Amino acid sequence: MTEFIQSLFTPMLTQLLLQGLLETLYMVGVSLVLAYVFGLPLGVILVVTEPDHLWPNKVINRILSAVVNIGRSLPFIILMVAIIPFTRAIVGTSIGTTAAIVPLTVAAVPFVARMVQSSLKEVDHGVIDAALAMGASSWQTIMRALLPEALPSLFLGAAVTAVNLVGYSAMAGAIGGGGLGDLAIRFGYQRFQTNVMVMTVLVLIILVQAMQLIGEWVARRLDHRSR
Amino acid sequence: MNTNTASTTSSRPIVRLTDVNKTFGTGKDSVSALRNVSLSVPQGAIYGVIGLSGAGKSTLIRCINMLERPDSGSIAVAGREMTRLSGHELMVARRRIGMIFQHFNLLNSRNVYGNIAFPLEIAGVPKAKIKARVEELIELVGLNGRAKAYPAQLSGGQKQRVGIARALANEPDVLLSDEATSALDPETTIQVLQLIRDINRRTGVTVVMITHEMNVIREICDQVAVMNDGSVVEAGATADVFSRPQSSAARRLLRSQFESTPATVIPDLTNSDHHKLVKLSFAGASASAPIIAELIRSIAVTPNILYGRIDRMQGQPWGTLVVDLAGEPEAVKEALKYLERREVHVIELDVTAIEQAKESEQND
Ligand SMILES: Nc1ncnc2c1ncn2[C@@H]1O[C@H](COP(=O)(O)OP(=O)(O)OP(=O)(O)O)[C@@H](O)[C@H]1O
Ligand SMILES: [Mg+2]
Repeated sequence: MTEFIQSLFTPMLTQLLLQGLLETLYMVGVSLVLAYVFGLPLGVILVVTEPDHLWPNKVINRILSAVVNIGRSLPFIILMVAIIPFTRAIVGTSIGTTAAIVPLTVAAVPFVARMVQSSLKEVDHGVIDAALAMGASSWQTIMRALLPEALPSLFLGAAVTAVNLVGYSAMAGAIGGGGLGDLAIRFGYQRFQTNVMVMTVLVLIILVQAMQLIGEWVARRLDHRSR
Repeated sequence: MNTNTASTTSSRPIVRLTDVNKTFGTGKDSVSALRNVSLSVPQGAIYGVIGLSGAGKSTLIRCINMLERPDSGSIAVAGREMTRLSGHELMVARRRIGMIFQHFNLLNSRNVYGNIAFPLEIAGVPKAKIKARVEELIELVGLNGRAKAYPAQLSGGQKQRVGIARALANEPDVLLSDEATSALDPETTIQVLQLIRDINRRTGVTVVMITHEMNVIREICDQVAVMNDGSVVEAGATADVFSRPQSSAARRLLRSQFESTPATVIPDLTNSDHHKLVKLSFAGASASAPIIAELIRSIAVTPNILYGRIDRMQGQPWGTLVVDLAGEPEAVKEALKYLERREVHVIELDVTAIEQAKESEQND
């Protein structure tokens, strides 16, 4: 038993874990940012094109909503394989951590769009009325009223997205994407090195907890609704 | 104390609605929220809008700043035809029309300073100027020292003060208020109303306010419009509408103001040719004239005063008397005519109804 515990903390394993963690953080971090670059505007458009909102537009709203639903309904593992040609066209290869960022981003964009949509819908319509009544343009209303009011909720959504991305990135690892998932599968599953498996899972748990806590902490710091 | 309405209001309308129509929805589910609404609000006035729930008051006030676009009709604010403005022109025009809301609608993400600065930022006012103006406004609404507080840390009354400051930031011609005190307790309501009246007197800003509280109208509105089912059924000086409501909608709304006479104070009497039980309402000039004394002197009737009460309307006395007029039939008739001539609002009381009310009061 003590022997097993000692095997969890060998310099070799620590080195592997550290590298895996950095790769995971890289994949998750970059795809999170990219997912918001595309997903945030999509979420905003989903909300403001609703009837009685800033830019009511049934056609755009319906089409966008359908596209987002399709994106969300594809299992990640299938999406990952299906877009290999696209990934290769962008990154030049379909294997490795950088290549994994493409399917991760593509999978997260529709998810982010829905998260953003639900955060923005929480904002009281009265605030939008007030901004418009004060002479704000639609753009000013979005940038200075709608988004700032939703900010705490948006950060909570980002934490959920990040946690999801950690899960997806582990899957991406299965097809040579690197990161903690890759580590668990290569050593833990294929070579029956239980110590690697245990430590990887442990690090993943801590990572997910940390992301959730950071998200909640930031949201609380930004939230002035109660105090 | 002698701030009579003529000195603060000129006859030039600052807001004028002509034949405004607005329908929500289509087909069977459509609702006519506004039907041929026309009204004009004199510059500098405090103009009240009353009506039962669903009468179209909010729709009316939201049409003034185009938060709601009317289907037809004209809406002129400070000489600008609002319905024909381009997007950018409308934004500019809206800066000159402040609005306050029942639920305040402040930005929770901004503190008091930030909320009041918002309309100035929107208008592109330079930072240094914003600072000076916000400080001035904080002072004006009596929120000194609370600049850094967030809305969640303020009481309802304080939140509405922020709402008022924010609405006044760009020095509007008109202040629109949709039930701005409905979410406040009576004490705070009075304070907020006093603030609005003060600001009206000091800056001359015209106020259009919706309220369900008749005493609010009575206290501070110079003029009042009564809405019913999408139409303005009556409009005029508050004293006139309150003392001589013409429409059944107005009478219904004002019933509590008139018919609050406790039935038990009235003795057993029957209306006959020699007795007439009447309720008299005096407002404005008629309230201060010695009308009853003159009545006795000039006509052969004996008014027996059974009940009396004095309220205030816009700082002016407003009296209610229940009087039994006794005398020869001709004299009683003449007395009633005389009272009408002296602008006293006369309601003949229904004796049987009073007897019934008395019984039920005694049974309670
Ligand atoms: N956005 C809307 N969509 C559909 N119907 C509406 C809308 N806004 C108002 N209405 C309808 O128009 C009518 C007038 O509503 P409005 O809000 O103007 O009444 P109100 O006099 O302000 O009532 P309250 O005193 O309850 O606030 C109502 O029948 C209401 O249901
Ligand atoms: Mg209303």
